[in-house]
Amino acid sequence: MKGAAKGGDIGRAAGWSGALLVARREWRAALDGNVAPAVLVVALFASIAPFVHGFFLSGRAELSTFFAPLPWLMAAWLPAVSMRLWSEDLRARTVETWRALPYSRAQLVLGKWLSGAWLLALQLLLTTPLVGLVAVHGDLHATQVLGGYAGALLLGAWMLALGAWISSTTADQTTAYVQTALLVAVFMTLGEPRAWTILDGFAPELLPGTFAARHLSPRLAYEALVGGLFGLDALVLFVGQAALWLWLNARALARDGR
Amino acid sequence: MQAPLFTGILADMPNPLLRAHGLHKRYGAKLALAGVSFDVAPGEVVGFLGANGAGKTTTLRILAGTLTADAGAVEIDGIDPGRDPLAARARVGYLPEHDGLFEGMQVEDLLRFHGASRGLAGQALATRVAELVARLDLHAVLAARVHECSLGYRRRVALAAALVNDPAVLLFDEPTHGLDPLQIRAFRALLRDLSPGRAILFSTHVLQEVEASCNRVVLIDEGRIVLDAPLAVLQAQAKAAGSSIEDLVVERTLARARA
Repeated sequence: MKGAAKGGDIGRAAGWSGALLVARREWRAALDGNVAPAVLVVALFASIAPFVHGFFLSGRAELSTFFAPLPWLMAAWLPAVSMRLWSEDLRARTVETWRALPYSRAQLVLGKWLSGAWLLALQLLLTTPLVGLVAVHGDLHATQVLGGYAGALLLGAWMLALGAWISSTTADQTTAYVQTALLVAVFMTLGEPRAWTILDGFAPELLPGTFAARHLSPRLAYEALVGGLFGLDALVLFVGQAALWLWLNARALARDGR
Repeated sequence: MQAPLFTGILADMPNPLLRAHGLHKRYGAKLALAGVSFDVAPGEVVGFLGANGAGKTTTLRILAGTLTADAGAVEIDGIDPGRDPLAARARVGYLPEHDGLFEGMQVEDLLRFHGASRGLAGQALATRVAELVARLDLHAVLAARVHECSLGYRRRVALAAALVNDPAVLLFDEPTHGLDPLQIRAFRALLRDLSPGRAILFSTHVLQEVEASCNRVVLIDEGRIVLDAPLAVLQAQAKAAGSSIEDLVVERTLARARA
């Protein structure tokens, strides 16, 4: 590219194509490793286990047995996906390679997050035969299917964004896993009625627990989607918070010495 | 304090491809760079000498865009990286001190990824990767994963990645580290081939490397440039004094330490 025109997109992958290049590299790196495929298989079996249990032992063909415990299962397995997104680069010092390549921080952050979202989408896709079982043996509601999968995808993408940020703050993947899982658990618990009642008790005039449950915790938004209620507020909560985590991720990368 | 030998004689060179001006960098209490300035013109191969911790890697990282200076300015092929960092990075080939290679990738995939990241695609990318594989003799490891490669191969793979889009500015941090004598000779030949039209700056501890490959020497000590001179001038000075370039460099470093 010697003597190339100044500025413009010469010598680099612009916009989305750059983010997709990063995502493809990370996707392949994840599948080439041992952790992500193993976690994917375990997560798949763990996520369908409650449904299978209800289907074969209780004769219940209901998707609620799949979607209800899913957030807690995702809270356990998605931090294992997000922990390597940046921690591995910080440990191996390949973060300097990323910074030397002509990618913007937005392209890097989005690309890495997308690679995790593709793994999440693959895992959810592999559970879709359950829908067929319910269609044949139970009472299938299209809104519940759409809402459930949309909720799972949004909640998982939210968790991955949070995990990506945490992983950009430490070179230790175990630390990244533990911190992400704990934070996800805290956010999920804020949506638990007992938790918000206790919090409301501290300041009855302000109702901090109710505020946290409605505006901070993704739990109620997920449950609303699983119930077939598509609201703009749920979308704003998921997208807004995920954008915040990704912005913090980009800020962490901007720090010197990374 | 002694004035830097010849510093600034090339500062007014026409259209330098690489320009560093007044770079300052501090790590906590330690001042890593204290006003580093120099230019590199097309066709120049500059040996960047200095002891461990003198500021070589910090300077290279700032020029490569992987580290931000506290103060000072950089210009890459006329582009201010502060205003257009991606366009500046697209014109730089950077070989870090530690390879910076993605361990799990196959060598061919890695080169293709670096090429695609720098805007190459299709037949142009395939041709460029094939050229580099042939030039750097990477056939034997093309299908291997990076972590399976020897140190010498890793260095060459990293070099190929830095050269993949034929950049105008090349920054090499200890490029011959881990290479055997034959590979070092091949690297010198590569530098000779690359030098026309490009600005090449490489750090090293090995003075023989500089004498064999460079046409200019920049010496940094405790974050300051203490010597900046064409190799031919240094050779003539050393000959006149009945000493060696190594003596001149040591003398200059010691003089700065005394000051």
